[in-house]
Amino acid sequence: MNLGALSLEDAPGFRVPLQFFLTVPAFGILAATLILFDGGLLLQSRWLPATLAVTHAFTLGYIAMAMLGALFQMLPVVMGTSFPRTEPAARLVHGLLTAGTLCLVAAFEWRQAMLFLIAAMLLVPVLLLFAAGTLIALRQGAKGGGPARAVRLAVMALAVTAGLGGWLAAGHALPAVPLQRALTDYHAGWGLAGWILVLVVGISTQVIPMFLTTPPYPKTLERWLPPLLVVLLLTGSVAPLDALRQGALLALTVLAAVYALVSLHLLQRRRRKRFDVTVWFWRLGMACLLAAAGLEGYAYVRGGSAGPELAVLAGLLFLAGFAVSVINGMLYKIVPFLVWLHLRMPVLKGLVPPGTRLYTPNIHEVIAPQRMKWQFLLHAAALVLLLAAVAATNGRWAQAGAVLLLASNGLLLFNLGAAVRLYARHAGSV
Amino acid sequence: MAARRLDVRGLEAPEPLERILAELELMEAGEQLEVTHWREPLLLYPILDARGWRHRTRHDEADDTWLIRIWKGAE
Repeated sequence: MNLGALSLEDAPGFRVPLQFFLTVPAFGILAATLILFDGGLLLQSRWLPATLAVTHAFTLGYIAMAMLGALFQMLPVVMGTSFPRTEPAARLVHGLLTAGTLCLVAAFEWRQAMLFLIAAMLLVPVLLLFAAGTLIALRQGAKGGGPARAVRLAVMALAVTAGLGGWLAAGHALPAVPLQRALTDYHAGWGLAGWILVLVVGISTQVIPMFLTTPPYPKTLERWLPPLLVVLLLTGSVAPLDALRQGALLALTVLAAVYALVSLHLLQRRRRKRFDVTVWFWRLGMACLLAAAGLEGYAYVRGGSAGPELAVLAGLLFLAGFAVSVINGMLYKIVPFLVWLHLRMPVLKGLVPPGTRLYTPNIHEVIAPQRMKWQFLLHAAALVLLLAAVAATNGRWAQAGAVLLLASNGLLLFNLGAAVRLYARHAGSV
Repeated sequence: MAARRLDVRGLEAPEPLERILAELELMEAGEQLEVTHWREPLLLYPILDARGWRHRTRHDEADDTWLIRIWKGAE
């Protein structure tokens, strides 16, 4: 017997995820502006403060912002549970994440000890609070098997990432705390592989078949890939033997590549072949994940002789190429779906008498397909230019890439805004 | 009891939900609907509750499908 534990009154309001989603492109614009003004210099090493400012504008302002917003919505729809006190919790998380990220970016840009401290005091508690709230929600009778397990692991990795990040920020801010650069690799590893990759794997196995009409992912992959990634990450972090640590991280890289290949294969086997720009966002994202994994694998084989630009290239491919692309694609599915869902709710609940004329949005036209296509082209062109700029150490190309990235995020903001305007126009009439 | 069948596997969200609700509109008193879905439709349940429909879900491990039986009144 399976009775739905949720009622429609538990469903989060339209505002809950949208406040996060509308902030996403704003941080994309900020990251692009930083690249534009700092020139190509910042793409040459992962250690430069300006590079770290851009990295955190992406990882926290763009990626975490989108993922946290999506989780507030997906806990009920995909996993049958809900975040404790969803509405006020979402407002608090959104506010603190936005303010904390701005402080951290400013701290790196201006190298201000006090700003590092404020950033850590805002970000660490809010990310731990979010992780704890999600774990509590998942304990309270979550369904959905594989994705629920992936989300549980991903938010634990988020907590580890936040804790390590807080310690590093304290190292920047307080003379009494030594800045342990060695921790940066663990911080980055748990953030990229543990939080971002595990979450994308867990969510994509649901949303790709659901929205893009592909066959389902193989059950073994859906069930075992997220825990396996975390076990390998843990082994790569704490195993006593160097060879064991390296082997685990190499295996993790191979599994990331396998996941990208399976996804590309499934996207090729869509049941409906109608043009859909989100498919191209996913394809681009998976191709970049494959390339990032290839570069990481190459770096392991070469050992210490791989150049510093290789690490920047792999990071750029993973963050701007993989994570940003799939999130962008996902936003173009989730936001129109939410507009549809909230405008259609009275009909779905059966509250509208038969024969009543009521506006129903066509889910494929909530955001103009042509404008989404243009935004994809801008995003892809920006990515190509930025990658070329790193590979050739060319500042002009980096700035040209930044201009395109700026335009791409501006158009993303406009497109998401169009969906919100459509909702606002009709919400009063339903 | 007479049962209608509806297979919504392979449809793009939110079409499965729309199709199920449209099918329910056509049901005669005493009829049941059996839906075949590739995942558990958690969003559907509260909508069915709000409309006074009852439901029971079974997961078929063999071909990894979800079978949702929907009816009104006594089963």
